Amino acid sequence: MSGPPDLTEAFARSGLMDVAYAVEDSPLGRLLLATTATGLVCVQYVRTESDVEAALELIARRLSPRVLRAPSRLEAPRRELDEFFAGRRREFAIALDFALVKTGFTRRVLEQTSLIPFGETVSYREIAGRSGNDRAYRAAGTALGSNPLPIVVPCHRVLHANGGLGGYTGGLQIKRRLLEIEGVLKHGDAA
Amino acid sequence: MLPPFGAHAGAHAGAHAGAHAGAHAGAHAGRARGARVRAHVRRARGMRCGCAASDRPAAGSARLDLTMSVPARSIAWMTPPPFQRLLDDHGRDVYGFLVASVGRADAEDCYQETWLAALRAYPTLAHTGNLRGWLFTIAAHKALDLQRRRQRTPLLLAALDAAATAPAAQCQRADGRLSEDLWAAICGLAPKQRAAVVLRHLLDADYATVAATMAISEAAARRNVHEGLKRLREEHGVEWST
Repeated sequence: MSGPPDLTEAFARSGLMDVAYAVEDSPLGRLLLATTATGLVCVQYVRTESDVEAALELIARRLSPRVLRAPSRLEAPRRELDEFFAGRRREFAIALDFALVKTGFTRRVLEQTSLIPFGETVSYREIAGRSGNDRAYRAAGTALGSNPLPIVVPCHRVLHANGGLGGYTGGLQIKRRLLEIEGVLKHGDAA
Repeated sequence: MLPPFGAHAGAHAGAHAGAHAGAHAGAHAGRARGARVRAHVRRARGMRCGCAASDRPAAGSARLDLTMSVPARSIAWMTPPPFQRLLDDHGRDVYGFLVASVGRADAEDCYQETWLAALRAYPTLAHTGNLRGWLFTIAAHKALDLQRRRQRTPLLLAALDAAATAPAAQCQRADGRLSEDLWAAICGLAPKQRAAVVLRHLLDADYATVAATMAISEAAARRNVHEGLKRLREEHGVEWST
Protein backbone atom coordinates (compact mmCIF):
# COMPACT_ATOMS: atom_id res chain seq x y z
CA MET A 1 0.00 0.00 0.00
CA SER A 2 1.49 3.32 -1.04
CA GLY A 3 1.81 6.08 1.52
CA PRO A 4 -0.15 9.31 1.60
CA PRO A 5 0.43 11.79 -1.24
CA ASP A 6 2.88 14.66 -0.81
CA LEU A 7 0.96 17.85 -0.10
CA THR A 8 3.81 20.37 -0.24
CA GLU A 9 2.64 21.80 -3.57
CA ALA A 10 -0.98 22.02 -2.46
CA PHE A 11 0.06 23.80 0.73
CA ALA A 12 2.19 26.25 -1.24
CA ARG A 13 -0.63 26.99 -3.70
CA SER A 14 -3.12 27.53 -0.89
CA GLY A 15 -1.17 30.53 0.38
CA LEU A 16 -1.58 29.17 3.90
CA MET A 17 2.03 28.11 4.38
CA ASP A 18 3.18 30.94 6.65
CA VAL A 19 6.63 29.49 7.29
CA ALA A 20 8.50 27.02 5.08
CA TYR A 21 11.59 25.31 6.38
CA ALA A 22 14.29 22.87 5.37
CA VAL A 23 17.21 21.24 7.15
CA GLU A 24 20.33 21.33 4.98
CA ASP A 25 23.84 19.95 5.27
CA SER A 26 26.61 22.54 5.05
CA PRO A 27 30.38 22.60 5.60
CA LEU A 28 29.59 24.09 9.02
CA GLY A 29 27.20 21.32 10.00
CA ARG A 30 23.46 21.02 9.57
CA LEU A 31 21.50 24.24 9.14
CA LEU A 32 17.81 24.88 9.66
CA LEU A 33 16.60 27.44 7.12
CA ALA A 34 13.15 29.00 7.39
CA THR A 35 11.41 31.54 5.20
CA THR A 36 8.21 33.57 5.24
CA ALA A 37 6.56 35.30 2.29
CA THR A 38 8.73 38.32 3.16
CA GLY A 39 12.08 36.56 3.11
CA LEU A 40 14.55 34.38 4.98
CA VAL A 41 13.57 34.55 8.64
CA CYS A 42 15.80 32.02 10.39
CA VAL A 43 19.16 30.32 9.96
CA GLN A 44 20.11 28.06 12.81
CA TYR A 45 22.86 25.58 13.54
CA VAL A 46 21.13 22.32 14.50
CA ARG A 47 23.13 19.38 15.77
CA THR A 48 20.28 17.12 16.88
CA GLU A 49 16.65 16.50 16.05
CA SER A 50 15.68 18.16 19.30
CA ASP A 51 17.51 21.32 18.17
CA VAL A 52 15.27 21.28 15.10
CA GLU A 53 12.16 20.69 17.19
CA ALA A 54 13.03 23.51 19.58
CA ALA A 55 13.71 25.94 16.73
CA LEU A 56 10.43 25.06 14.99
CA GLU A 57 8.47 25.41 18.20
CA LEU A 58 9.94 28.87 18.74
CA ILE A 59 8.95 29.82 15.19
CA ALA A 60 5.45 28.40 15.71
CA ARG A 61 5.08 30.45 18.87
CA ARG A 62 6.62 33.69 17.65
CA LEU A 63 5.45 33.76 14.01
CA SER A 64 2.74 31.27 13.13
CA PRO A 65 2.00 27.60 13.83
CA ARG A 66 1.53 27.06 10.09
CA VAL A 67 5.07 25.77 9.79
CA LEU A 68 5.72 23.25 7.02
CA ARG A 69 8.72 21.48 5.56
CA ALA A 70 9.17 22.67 1.98
CA PRO A 71 12.77 22.51 0.73
CA SER A 72 11.76 23.86 -2.70
CA ARG A 73 10.87 27.19 -1.10
CA LEU A 74 14.43 27.54 0.19
CA GLU A 75 16.37 26.97 -2.98
CA ALA A 76 17.60 30.56 -3.34
CA PRO A 77 19.05 30.91 0.18
CA ARG A 78 20.54 27.43 -0.04
CA ARG A 79 22.25 28.25 -3.32
CA GLU A 80 23.63 31.54 -2.01
CA LEU A 81 24.92 29.90 1.14
CA ASP A 82 26.61 27.16 -0.90
CA GLU A 83 28.28 29.81 -3.03
CA PHE A 84 29.38 31.68 0.08
CA PHE A 85 30.90 28.54 1.61
CA ALA A 86 32.68 27.82 -1.66
CA GLY A 87 34.18 31.33 -1.69
CA ARG A 88 32.19 32.41 -4.75
CA ARG A 89 29.85 34.89 -3.06
CA ARG A 90 30.66 37.94 -0.94
CA GLU A 91 27.16 39.37 -0.44
CA PHE A 92 23.73 37.84 -0.06
CA ALA A 93 21.02 39.04 -2.40
CA ILE A 94 18.07 37.21 -0.85
CA ALA A 95 15.32 39.13 0.94
CA LEU A 96 15.36 38.94 4.73
CA ASP A 97 12.56 38.99 7.27
CA PHE A 98 13.54 40.43 10.66
CA ALA A 99 10.35 39.16 12.31
CA LEU A 100 12.33 37.14 14.87
CA VAL A 101 14.54 40.10 15.76
CA LYS A 102 13.62 42.03 18.85
CA THR A 103 12.99 45.73 18.48
CA GLY A 104 15.06 48.62 19.78
CA PHE A 105 18.78 48.31 20.41
CA THR A 106 18.96 44.67 19.30
CA ARG A 107 17.48 45.46 15.93
CA ARG A 108 19.81 48.45 15.44
CA VAL A 109 22.82 46.29 16.30
CA LEU A 110 21.83 43.64 13.75
CA GLU A 111 21.03 46.24 11.11
CA GLN A 112 24.46 47.79 11.61
CA THR A 113 26.07 44.36 11.58
CA SER A 114 24.49 43.53 8.23
CA LEU A 115 26.37 46.55 6.80
CA ILE A 116 29.84 45.20 7.68
CA PRO A 117 31.43 44.21 4.36
CA PHE A 118 32.82 40.80 3.53
CA GLY A 119 36.33 40.28 4.87
CA GLU A 120 36.22 43.13 7.39
CA THR A 121 35.74 43.02 11.14
CA VAL A 122 34.71 45.51 13.82
CA SER A 123 34.85 45.41 17.61
CA TYR A 124 31.90 44.97 19.94
CA ARG A 125 32.41 48.54 21.18
CA GLU A 126 32.44 49.86 17.62
CA ILE A 127 29.22 48.12 16.66
CA ALA A 128 27.60 49.35 19.89
CA GLY A 129 28.65 52.89 18.97
CA ARG A 130 27.23 52.59 15.46
CA SER A 131 24.01 51.40 17.03
CA GLY A 132 23.78 54.49 19.19
CA ASN A 133 25.52 53.66 22.48
CA ASP A 134 29.24 52.86 22.52
CA ARG A 135 29.15 51.92 26.21
CA ALA A 136 26.62 49.16 25.60
CA TYR A 137 29.16 46.74 24.12
CA ARG A 138 27.99 43.93 26.39
CA ALA A 139 24.41 44.50 25.29
CA ALA A 140 25.69 44.50 21.72
CA GLY A 141 27.25 41.10 22.38
CA THR A 142 23.92 39.84 23.71
CA ALA A 143 22.11 41.26 20.69
CA LEU A 144 24.53 39.51 18.34
CA GLY A 145 24.08 36.29 20.29
CA SER A 146 20.34 36.47 19.58
CA ASN A 147 20.90 36.90 15.83
CA PRO A 148 18.26 34.69 14.13
CA LEU A 149 20.09 34.97 10.80
CA PRO A 150 23.75 34.11 11.41
CA ILE A 151 26.08 33.99 8.38
CA VAL A 152 23.61 36.11 6.36
CA VAL A 153 23.64 38.85 9.00
CA PRO A 154 27.39 38.52 9.59
CA CYS A 155 27.67 38.63 13.36
CA HIS A 156 30.88 36.60 12.96
CA ARG A 157 32.56 39.80 11.74
CA VAL A 158 32.34 41.33 15.23
CA LEU A 159 35.40 40.55 17.38
CA HIS A 160 37.05 41.66 20.59
CA ALA A 161 39.10 44.85 20.25
CA ASN A 162 42.18 42.97 21.48
CA GLY A 163 41.91 40.50 18.61
CA GLY A 164 40.13 37.77 20.56
CA LEU A 165 37.31 36.05 18.75
CA GLY A 166 34.60 36.84 21.30
CA GLY A 167 31.64 34.49 21.30
CA TYR A 168 29.44 32.70 18.78
CA THR A 169 26.16 30.84 19.03
CA GLY A 170 27.26 28.02 16.77
CA GLY A 171 30.57 27.65 18.65
CA LEU A 172 33.88 29.42 18.19
CA GLN A 173 35.07 26.73 15.79
CA ILE A 174 32.40 27.82 13.34
CA LYS A 175 33.20 31.51 13.80
CA ARG A 176 36.83 30.68 13.02
CA ARG A 177 35.81 28.78 9.88
CA LEU A 178 33.67 31.69 8.68
CA LEU A 179 36.55 34.13 9.17
CA GLU A 180 38.84 31.73 7.29
CA ILE A 181 36.39 31.67 4.39
CA GLU A 182 36.55 35.47 4.31
CA GLY A 183 40.35 35.52 4.50
CA VAL A 184 40.40 37.33 7.87
CA LEU A 185 42.04 34.34 9.53
CA LYS A 186 44.47 31.98 7.88
CA HIS A 187 43.85 28.26 8.18
CA GLY A 188 45.33 27.07 11.44
CA ASP A 189 45.49 30.56 12.98
CA ALA A 190 45.16 30.30 16.74
CA ALA A 191 43.29 33.50 17.38
CA MET B 1 -16.32 25.47 5.38
CA LEU B 2 -14.43 25.23 8.61
CA PRO B 3 -14.31 22.03 10.58
CA PRO B 4 -16.75 22.27 13.43
CA PHE B 5 -14.26 21.97 16.19
CA GLY B 6 -16.69 23.58 18.56
CA ALA B 7 -19.06 20.71 18.00
CA HIS B 8 -16.26 18.29 18.60
CA ALA B 9 -15.27 19.92 21.85
CA GLY B 10 -18.90 19.97 22.89
CA ALA B 11 -19.32 16.31 22.18
CA HIS B 12 -16.18 15.56 24.08
CA ALA B 13 -17.33 17.57 27.04
CA GLY B 14 -20.61 15.73 26.88
CA ALA B 15 -18.90 12.38 27.02
CA HIS B 16 -16.78 13.62 29.84
CA ALA B 17 -19.76 14.77 31.81
CA GLY B 18 -21.52 11.50 31.16
CA ALA B 19 -18.62 9.39 32.28
CA HIS B 20 -18.05 11.33 35.43
CA ALA B 21 -21.40 12.65 36.39
CA GLY B 22 -21.94 9.83 38.80
CA ALA B 23 -18.54 9.96 40.36
CA HIS B 24 -18.37 13.68 40.77
CA ALA B 25 -21.88 14.95 41.02
CA GLY B 26 -21.78 14.83 44.77
CA ALA B 27 -18.31 16.25 45.11
CA HIS B 28 -19.06 19.17 42.85
CA ALA B 29 -22.52 19.95 44.13
CA GLY B 30 -22.83 23.66 44.67
CA ARG B 31 -19.60 24.33 42.85
CA ALA B 32 -20.83 23.77 39.36
CA ARG B 33 -19.22 26.87 37.95
CA GLY B 34 -15.81 26.00 39.30
CA ALA B 35 -16.16 22.49 38.00
CA ARG B 36 -16.99 23.76 34.57
CA VAL B 37 -13.91 25.96 34.48
CA ARG B 38 -11.79 23.07 35.66
CA ALA B 39 -13.15 20.78 33.00
CA HIS B 40 -12.26 23.47 30.49
CA VAL B 41 -8.70 23.76 31.75
CA ARG B 42 -8.32 20.01 31.84
CA ARG B 43 -9.46 19.73 28.27
CA ALA B 44 -7.14 22.46 27.15
CA ARG B 45 -4.24 20.62 28.70
CA GLY B 46 -5.27 17.45 26.93
CA MET B 47 -5.42 15.53 30.15
CA ARG B 48 -7.50 12.45 30.42
CA CYS B 49 -10.48 12.57 32.63
CA GLY B 50 -8.84 10.92 35.60
CA CYS B 51 -9.47 12.78 38.78
CA ALA B 52 -6.48 14.99 39.30
CA ALA B 53 -5.69 15.72 42.91
CA SER B 54 -6.74 19.33 42.48
CA ASP B 55 -10.08 18.12 41.27
CA ARG B 56 -11.12 16.72 44.60
CA PRO B 57 -12.39 19.03 47.27
CA ALA B 58 -9.84 19.31 50.03
CA ALA B 59 -10.92 17.52 53.18
CA GLY B 60 -13.14 19.73 55.25
CA SER B 61 -12.64 22.70 52.98
CA ALA B 62 -15.02 24.08 50.43
CA ARG B 63 -12.89 26.95 49.20
CA LEU B 64 -10.78 25.55 46.42
CA ASP B 65 -11.86 27.95 43.73
CA LEU B 66 -8.42 28.73 42.39
CA THR B 67 -9.37 27.57 38.95
CA MET B 68 -9.32 30.83 37.05
CA SER B 69 -5.55 31.07 37.15
CA VAL B 70 -4.04 28.83 34.51
CA PRO B 71 -0.38 28.08 35.18
CA ALA B 72 2.03 29.57 32.66
CA ARG B 73 3.20 26.10 31.70
CA SER B 74 -0.19 25.06 30.43
CA ILE B 75 -0.51 28.27 28.43
CA ALA B 76 2.71 27.37 26.68
CA TRP B 77 1.28 23.92 26.15
CA MET B 78 -1.74 25.36 24.43
CA THR B 79 0.42 26.89 21.71
CA PRO B 80 -0.19 24.62 18.75
CA PRO B 81 2.93 22.69 17.72
CA PRO B 82 4.42 23.29 14.27
CA PHE B 83 1.89 22.01 11.75
CA GLN B 84 4.48 19.76 10.14
CA ARG B 85 4.54 17.67 13.29
CA LEU B 86 0.83 16.87 12.94
CA LEU B 87 1.46 15.80 9.38
CA ASP B 88 4.41 13.63 10.40
CA ASP B 89 2.61 12.07 13.36
CA HIS B 90 -0.86 11.48 11.91
CA GLY B 91 -0.62 11.75 8.11
CA ARG B 92 -0.38 8.03 7.44
CA ASP B 93 -3.24 7.15 9.76
CA VAL B 94 -5.51 9.84 8.38
CA TYR B 95 -4.77 8.59 4.87
CA GLY B 96 -5.41 5.00 5.88
CA PHE B 97 -8.68 6.02 7.48
CA LEU B 98 -9.76 7.77 4.27
CA VAL B 99 -8.74 4.85 2.08
CA ALA B 100 -10.84 2.58 4.26
CA SER B 101 -13.73 5.08 4.28
CA VAL B 102 -14.01 6.22 0.66
CA GLY B 103 -11.72 3.90 -1.26
CA ARG B 104 -8.31 4.47 -2.75
CA ALA B 105 -9.53 6.37 -5.80
CA ASP B 106 -10.99 9.23 -3.79
CA ALA B 107 -8.75 9.07 -0.76
CA GLU B 108 -6.12 11.41 -2.20
CA ASP B 109 -8.57 14.25 -2.80
CA CYS B 110 -10.15 13.79 0.62
CA TYR B 111 -6.70 13.69 2.18
CA GLN B 112 -5.69 16.97 0.58
CA GLU B 113 -8.99 18.64 1.51
CA THR B 114 -8.62 17.42 5.07
CA TRP B 115 -5.15 18.85 5.55
CA LEU B 116 -5.91 22.14 3.82
CA ALA B 117 -8.96 22.61 6.05
CA ALA B 118 -6.87 21.78 9.09
CA LEU B 119 -4.11 24.18 8.04
CA ARG B 120 -6.65 26.95 7.46
CA ALA B 121 -8.23 26.59 10.89
CA TYR B 122 -5.06 25.77 12.78
CA PRO B 123 -3.95 29.19 14.10
CA THR B 124 -7.36 29.92 15.61
CA LEU B 125 -7.74 26.53 17.25
CA ALA B 126 -8.70 27.13 20.86
CA HIS B 127 -7.92 23.72 22.29
CA THR B 128 -4.90 21.72 21.29
CA GLY B 129 -5.43 18.84 23.70
CA ASN B 130 -6.67 16.30 21.18
CA LEU B 131 -5.26 17.25 17.80
CA ARG B 132 -5.51 13.70 16.53
CA GLY B 133 -9.21 13.57 17.30
CA TRP B 134 -9.62 16.96 15.65
CA LEU B 135 -7.90 15.76 12.48
CA PHE B 136 -9.97 12.59 12.30
CA THR B 137 -13.13 14.63 12.76
CA ILE B 138 -12.19 16.77 9.77
CA ALA B 139 -11.30 13.66 7.77
CA ALA B 140 -14.63 12.05 8.66
CA HIS B 141 -16.45 15.18 7.50
CA LYS B 142 -14.54 15.21 4.22
CA ALA B 143 -15.42 11.55 3.72
CA LEU B 144 -19.04 12.35 4.44
CA ASP B 145 -19.00 15.26 1.99
CA LEU B 146 -17.80 12.85 -0.63
CA GLN B 147 -20.48 10.32 0.24
CA ARG B 148 -23.05 13.05 -0.20
CA ARG B 149 -21.61 14.03 -3.54
CA ARG B 150 -21.91 10.44 -4.60
CA GLN B 151 -25.56 10.64 -3.51
CA ARG B 152 -25.44 7.43 -1.65
CA THR B 153 -26.61 6.69 1.81
CA PRO B 154 -24.27 8.66 4.02
CA LEU B 155 -22.76 5.68 5.69
CA LEU B 156 -20.60 7.73 8.00
CA LEU B 157 -23.30 10.06 9.26
CA ALA B 158 -23.63 8.71 12.76
CA ALA B 159 -19.97 7.85 12.84
CA LEU B 160 -19.15 11.54 13.06
CA ASP B 161 -20.26 11.79 16.64
CA ALA B 162 -18.37 8.64 17.44
CA ALA B 163 -15.27 9.97 15.73
CA ALA B 164 -15.48 13.18 17.69
CA THR B 165 -15.63 11.48 21.03
CA ALA B 166 -13.40 8.51 20.36
CA PRO B 167 -9.85 8.63 21.64
CA ALA B 168 -7.06 7.70 19.26
CA ALA B 169 -7.85 4.55 17.36
CA GLN B 170 -8.01 1.51 19.56
CA CYS B 171 -6.04 -0.66 17.24
CA GLN B 172 -2.55 0.75 17.37
CA ARG B 173 0.71 -0.99 17.33
CA ALA B 174 3.24 -0.32 20.03
CA ASP B 175 4.57 2.73 18.18
CA GLY B 176 1.10 4.24 17.95
CA ARG B 177 0.61 3.79 14.21
CA LEU B 178 -1.78 1.61 12.35
CA SER B 179 0.11 -0.78 10.18
CA GLU B 180 -0.20 -0.58 6.42
CA ASP B 181 -0.98 -4.26 6.28
CA LEU B 182 -3.99 -3.70 8.47
CA TRP B 183 -5.30 -0.89 6.30
CA ALA B 184 -4.80 -2.95 3.19
CA ALA B 185 -6.57 -5.88 4.81
CA ILE B 186 -9.51 -3.71 5.84
CA CYS B 187 -9.78 -2.38 2.30
CA GLY B 188 -10.01 -5.93 1.06
CA LEU B 189 -13.14 -6.72 3.07
CA ALA B 190 -16.60 -6.84 1.57
CA PRO B 191 -18.24 -3.37 1.70
CA LYS B 192 -20.62 -4.16 4.54
CA GLN B 193 -17.97 -5.84 6.63
CA ARG B 194 -15.54 -3.03 5.97
CA ALA B 195 -18.05 -0.39 6.98
CA ALA B 196 -18.98 -2.29 10.12
CA VAL B 197 -15.37 -2.86 11.16
CA VAL B 198 -14.39 0.75 10.51
CA LEU B 199 -17.37 2.07 12.44
CA ARG B 200 -17.01 -0.31 15.33
CA HIS B 201 -13.25 -0.39 15.80
CA LEU B 202 -11.77 2.71 14.21
CA LEU B 203 -14.51 5.10 15.23
CA ASP B 204 -15.46 3.22 18.36
CA ALA B 205 -19.19 3.30 17.67
CA ASP B 206 -21.37 0.93 19.66
CA TYR B 207 -23.36 -1.77 17.85
CA ALA B 208 -26.59 0.21 18.01
CA THR B 209 -24.88 3.09 16.22
CA VAL B 210 -23.31 0.78 13.68
CA ALA B 211 -26.73 -0.75 13.02
CA ALA B 212 -28.46 2.63 12.72
CA THR B 213 -25.75 4.00 10.46
CA MET B 214 -25.87 1.05 8.11
CA ALA B 215 -29.63 0.70 8.31
CA ILE B 216 -29.40 -2.91 9.38
CA SER B 217 -30.38 -4.74 12.53
CA GLU B 218 -28.07 -4.79 15.51
CA ALA B 219 -27.68 -8.53 15.10
CA ALA B 220 -26.61 -8.00 11.51
CA ALA B 221 -24.16 -5.32 12.65
CA ARG B 222 -22.59 -7.73 15.11
CA ARG B 223 -22.45 -10.40 12.46
CA ASN B 224 -20.75 -8.08 9.96
CA VAL B 225 -18.17 -6.97 12.51
CA HIS B 226 -17.61 -10.55 13.58
CA GLU B 227 -17.26 -11.84 10.03
CA GLY B 228 -14.98 -8.94 9.11
CA LEU B 229 -12.68 -9.56 12.06
CA LYS B 230 -12.73 -13.27 11.36
CA ARG B 231 -11.66 -12.69 7.79
CA LEU B 232 -8.93 -10.30 8.88
CA ARG B 233 -7.71 -12.94 11.29
CA GLU B 234 -7.92 -15.94 9.00
CA GLU B 235 -6.82 -14.41 5.71
CA HIS B 236 -4.42 -11.74 6.89
CA GLY B 237 -3.29 -12.98 10.27
CA VAL B 238 -4.45 -9.73 11.85
CA GLU B 239 -5.27 -10.28 15.50
CA TRP B 240 -7.53 -7.52 16.71
CA SER B 241 -8.69 -7.59 20.27
CA THR B 242 -12.27 -6.51 20.75
